[in-house]
Amino acid sequence: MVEPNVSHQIHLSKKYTFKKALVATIPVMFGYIPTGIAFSMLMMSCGYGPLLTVFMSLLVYAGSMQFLSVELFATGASFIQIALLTFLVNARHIFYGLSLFKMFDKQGKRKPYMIYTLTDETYALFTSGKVPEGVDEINYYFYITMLDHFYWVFGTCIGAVIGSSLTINTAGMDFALTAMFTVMLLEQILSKTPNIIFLISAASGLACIILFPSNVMLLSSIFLALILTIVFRKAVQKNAEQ
Amino acid sequence: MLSSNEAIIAMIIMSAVTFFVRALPFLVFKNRQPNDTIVYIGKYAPAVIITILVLYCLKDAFYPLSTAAIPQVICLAAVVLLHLKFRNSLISIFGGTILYMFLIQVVFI
Repeated sequence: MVEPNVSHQIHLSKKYTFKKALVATIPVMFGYIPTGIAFSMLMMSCGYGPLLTVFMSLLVYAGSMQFLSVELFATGASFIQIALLTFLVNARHIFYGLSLFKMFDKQGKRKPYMIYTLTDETYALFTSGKVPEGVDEINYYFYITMLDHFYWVFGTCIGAVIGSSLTINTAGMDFALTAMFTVMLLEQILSKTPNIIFLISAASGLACIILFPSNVMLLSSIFLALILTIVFRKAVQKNAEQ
Repeated sequence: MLSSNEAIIAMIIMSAVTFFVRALPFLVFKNRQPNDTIVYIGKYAPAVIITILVLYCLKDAFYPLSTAAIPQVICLAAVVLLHLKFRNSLISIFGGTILYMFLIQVVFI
């Protein structure tokens, strides 16, 4: 008698967990779908077919790099150039895993997929905000990963199929991502994170916006800010105790 | 322009490089405990990265400063105020986004 009861509970909790993950990822949906549509239209305007365009979103799944690569493809860049630029644009992700060791270890067989699809937005959802009560944490993170990946591919599909005849004006919808990051930052500021961390990060970000070209701004500022976080470790820890 | 076949090879290269950078910390610390500094960095990296992502999203309108900054300032203020008032992420994010869409589609054309 016990067994069916247990399986029923697990079933319910999976559904509930999925629902909560869906709610958490709605802002990403609003960012990824219009951006995916825009990517599709750009890629196809360069003469690539819808299948290849969707395939790229499924396989590469790196927003800014995909936009950049359309330009590279169009100008006939070499594979070495493409590999180097991909490394440069995405190298910031080297630091993302550092906060996720424990959580990813619990994912078992899903771990490689979750590393493969660790975008800025997914990372932000993993590390900001609490896991809702009553959800299965391991599945919750996995659903977030899958949903975000799905939105990106789905947006690309919409663009590939009906992009040019789309009548809804989606201009400005991607502000959802800016708004989402802003809310996460606000929550971080309201939490116990030492203020000096935000100072270091903002100063590094502003300096790198002025000093470096746009496509290496993220890498250079994250790198600089993390170096400074180590340099000012004593001040950070003193700040944290207060 | 790269042919479709060349583009597929390029995509495989791009995904391999991206996977490699995302997997690097997990490969490096597969069989050993991350040291004290890495644990410390891991603790504060989210706050650092979120701060910089916000600046990254705003940089095109603000540097160099353009009129596109006006609706962004208004909507950022709306997001912050809504969030301080209701402390509900969806309300803050959607309030700000809908206002932004309205402003750039209707008001600041």
